[in-house]
Amino acid sequence: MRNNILKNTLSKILLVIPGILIILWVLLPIYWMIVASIVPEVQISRLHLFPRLDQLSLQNYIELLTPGDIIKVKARGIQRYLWNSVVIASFVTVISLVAGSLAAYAISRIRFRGRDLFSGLILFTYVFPGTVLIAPIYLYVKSLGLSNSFAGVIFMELAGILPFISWLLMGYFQELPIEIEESALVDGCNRLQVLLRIVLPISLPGLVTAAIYAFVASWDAFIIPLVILEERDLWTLPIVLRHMIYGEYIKWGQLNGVAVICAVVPAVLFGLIQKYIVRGLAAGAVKG
Amino acid sequence: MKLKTRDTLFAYSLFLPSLIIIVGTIGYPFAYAIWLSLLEKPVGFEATFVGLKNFQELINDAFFINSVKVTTIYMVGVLAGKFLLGLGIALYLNLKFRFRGVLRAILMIPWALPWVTTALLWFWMYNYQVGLLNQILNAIFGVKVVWLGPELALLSLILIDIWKGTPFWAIVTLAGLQTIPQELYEAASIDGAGSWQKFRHITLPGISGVLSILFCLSFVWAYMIFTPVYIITNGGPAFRTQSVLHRIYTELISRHSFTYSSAMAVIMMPLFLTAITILVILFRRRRGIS
Repeated sequence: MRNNILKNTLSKILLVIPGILIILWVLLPIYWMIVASIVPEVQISRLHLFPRLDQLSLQNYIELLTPGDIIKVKARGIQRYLWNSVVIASFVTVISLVAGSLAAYAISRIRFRGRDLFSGLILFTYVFPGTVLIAPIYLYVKSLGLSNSFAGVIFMELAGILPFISWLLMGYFQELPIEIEESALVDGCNRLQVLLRIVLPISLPGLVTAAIYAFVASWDAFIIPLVILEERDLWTLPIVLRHMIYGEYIKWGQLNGVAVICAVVPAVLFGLIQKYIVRGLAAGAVKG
Repeated sequence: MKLKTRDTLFAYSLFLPSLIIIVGTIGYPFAYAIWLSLLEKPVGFEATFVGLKNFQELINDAFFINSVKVTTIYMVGVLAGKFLLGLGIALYLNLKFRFRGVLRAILMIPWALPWVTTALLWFWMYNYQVGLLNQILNAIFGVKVVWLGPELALLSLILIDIWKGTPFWAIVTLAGLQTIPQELYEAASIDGAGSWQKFRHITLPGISGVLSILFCLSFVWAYMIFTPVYIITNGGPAFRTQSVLHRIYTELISRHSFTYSSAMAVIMMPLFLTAITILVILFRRRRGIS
């Protein structure tokens, strides 16, 4: 009897250990970043795992928001670059959602010649590593007169994001019950009406999920804006972060602050759709 | 018949915006890369057609070969790490215990972080003086490790990708595990199979489908790695962490050699296209798209 209890407790402890290790592995680095961002720069070289509470301050964030600080790249204050990121990501989201949902509907609901070819094209371009084509992309965007413009970045980011969104929505539409659409067709609605009045409204959760993926993918885009946007005022957050590293002197507190700001938007957006994420991942359809 | 034609026309018009964007952003740059790779254009001169000259130079280019080697080591390390750790975590999360849902949610955090944040927070973790890793090692063993020095920099980058990529791998593997019917295990137990035999003959075959998709996806992602390399090591020290895409970028920015840089992209294509073709076949089988 006593032996049994001992065995039970032991196996429970063994079960808990991997969980604790996973939590430490995931959360310690993130904790360390957040702590560094709320400790004044002068104290950062003596930072410990548990800083004293009176050490903490929002000084780094205030400095980031103040234009004309000593680090030359953020002469405009971080809000400027935050705004640039938001604008680009919003356009990418809207365009990929509109074009992607139309294409996904055609492939998942209409039987037509070339349908296999189109669905193959979507899948192929979803996995295709378009960023290796950065040299032709640079020349191409220049020849279109779109260097140093948001339009150029938005257009080229669609290369990776639009097929991804179409692929995601194809999977989503295929899971919707087809009966409602069929009866609407029998009742004399045309395809366009079915799409606009029935399919899109009932797909709202899927569309929101896809929109969030598109937004975050654009938010995290790096090499495309890096190459196209040479003018400092047009930079997105990731580009600013990179330029803050290669100054004469790294301000770790501010740098970690920018990293936190970069992470907040995706964290909030993914938090909103948390229960759909695992399902989407399980469908094997999600870019990691 | 008439309805069918109308449907087809409607389908084409729905697909048209996407087709224009795909051709304009992938198709054209791809064809342009092939064309550029056959040219030579010294700065200030007109471009001339040189055939396969760029490729001949490439296969003797020590910098390019080095970047392919580095990226291949990176890929092998990341795939092995994500596979082993992902499988372990998936098997663990497949057990029934309290707080499993919470643990799964926490595990997803690295996946949800942007690459720039991930790169910077590990740059900070690896910091020699103040970084948390060295502080812990110093407190316990009294040593400090040069994480981003010549010997360890590549391994340090691999560990970052494992940290960020394992959650996705583990959750997808877990979903694969949950599709295996419980009866198979029960039947095997009755037949006297041990846990290793069950794992070998039921679990592994049951998740081989999702695993092969994960391997192909991660293969492509690992070969196109750029952001952490550029932010943390910038390819150094002494080119020991220079990935292929970093090489392509360096060639483009520092020497403005569009033609040579395009040739690098083109020479990598067979590798990518093979992986993608396998993926398309695997995905279609899985989703049942006819």
